[in-house]
Amino acid sequence: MTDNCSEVRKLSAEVALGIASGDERSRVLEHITRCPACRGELEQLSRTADDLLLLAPPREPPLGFETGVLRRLTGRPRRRWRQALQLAAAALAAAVATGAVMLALFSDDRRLASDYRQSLAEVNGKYFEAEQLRDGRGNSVGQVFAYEGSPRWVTIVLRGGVAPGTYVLELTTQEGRRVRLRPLHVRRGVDTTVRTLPVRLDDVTRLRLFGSRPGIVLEAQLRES
Amino acid sequence: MRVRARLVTGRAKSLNRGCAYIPMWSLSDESLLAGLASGDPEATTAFVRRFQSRVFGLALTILGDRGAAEDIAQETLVRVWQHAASYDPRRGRVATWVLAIARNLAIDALRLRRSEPVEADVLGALLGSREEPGTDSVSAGAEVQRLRHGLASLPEDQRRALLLAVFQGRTAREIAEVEHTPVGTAKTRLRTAFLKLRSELQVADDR
Repeated sequence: MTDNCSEVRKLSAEVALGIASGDERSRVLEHITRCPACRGELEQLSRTADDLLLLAPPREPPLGFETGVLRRLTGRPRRRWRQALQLAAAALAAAVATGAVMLALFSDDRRLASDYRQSLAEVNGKYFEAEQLRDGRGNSVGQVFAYEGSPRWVTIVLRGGVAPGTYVLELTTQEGRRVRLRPLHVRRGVDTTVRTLPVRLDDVTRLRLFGSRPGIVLEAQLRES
Repeated sequence: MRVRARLVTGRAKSLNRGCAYIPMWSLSDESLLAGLASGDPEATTAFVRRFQSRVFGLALTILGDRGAAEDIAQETLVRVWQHAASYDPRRGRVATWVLAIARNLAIDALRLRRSEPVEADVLGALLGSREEPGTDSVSAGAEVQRLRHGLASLPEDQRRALLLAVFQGRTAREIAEVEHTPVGTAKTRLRTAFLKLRSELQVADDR
C-alpha cells in the first residue's frame, strides 16, 4: 500500500457516504482507477452505506399514494424489443427462482417431467431450451436458458460457487465457429444475466464461460455437435 | 435433460396443457424491475406495492414530515421508473438502489426546506424500531437484524456520526459542528464506525 493509498483510504468513508467534497471525491476516484485494492475497499464501503438504508422502518404511505404514483407511471411508450427481452428473461429467471423449471428438469416425478417434455408445443417458432452449466469437475453451478424468438436471447443463471470476476462468454456453433458475447462480471458468485444470441438457437452446440484465471471454464452443452 | 417449453406469464391458462403460471408476487426484485422497465402494467403495480412502504418509511425517517415524505416517495418511484432500464446489478441490489435514490432526494429536500432535521438520538430510536404490521418487507429478516445489531454495538459518538451522515447527508464538518468536536475527530469517528460495521457484517457472513 502506498502513501497515496493511505491518504485515499482516510477519505473512502466519506466518499462512500456521499458527503466528501468535490475535490476529495475526485482524488479518490482518480486513485481507484489505478488501485484495485482501494477500489475494492470503496466498493465494500459503498455497499455497507447503501445497506444501512434498509434500517429505516417501512411505513404505510397515505391513502391515494399508490393510485397517484401509478397514474404518473402509466402511459409509457410501447415497449421496445430490448425491454421485451428483459421482461422475458426476468420471467424466466423468476420461473427458476420459484423452482418451476428446475422441478421439471430434475423431478423424480415422472408425470411432471413428462408433462414438460411432451405436452408443451412450439408456438410461432418460439421455444426455449434449458441446460445445466457445469464446472471442470462436472458440478452444476447454474443453468443456461436459451430462447428462440424475436429477439433470440440466452439467460445464464449462476447458483453459487462461482468465483467472482470477469468471464468471457463464447458460443460454439455446429460448424465449430466460436462466437463471443459480451463478458459477464460475476460479483458474488450468484448472478443472472441475459445476452442476445447472434446466431440461431438450433445452431448453438455449446456455451462456455472462461474465467480470468487459467483452468476456470464453465460449460453448458446444448446439443451434440 | 433438455426441456422445451412455452413461456407463459400473467394469468394462468389451462393447467391441463402444463403451462407455467408465474404470479407477480413471487418474482424477484430484479424481475419486477425488468417488467417496470418494459412498461408491463402488472409488474409496475407489483413493483410500486412492493417498495412503496419502504421508500415512504425512509423518506419519513429523514424528513420527519409526512407530506414532504409523500412527495419524495412519489418522486423516487418515478425516478426509478425513468431509470429502470439503466439499473446495473453490479451497483448493488435493487432494494438498496431504490432506497439510495430516495435518500438522495430526501436529503436534497432537507437542505432546501432548511427545517430542523430529526436529531441523531431520535434517528437511532427510529432505526431500532420494528416495522408496522402489514407493511411490505423488501428485505427484512436476518440481514436487517445484523445491521441493527452492528449499529447498536458501536460507541454512541460513532453511531451518531454515522447516522447523521447516512440519514441526513451531513458532511464531516457539519457533524463536527453538531457534535461540538474538531473536524478530524468527526472524520475519524465516521471511518471507524464504518469499518467496525463492515467488519461485523463480514464476520456474520462467514458464520
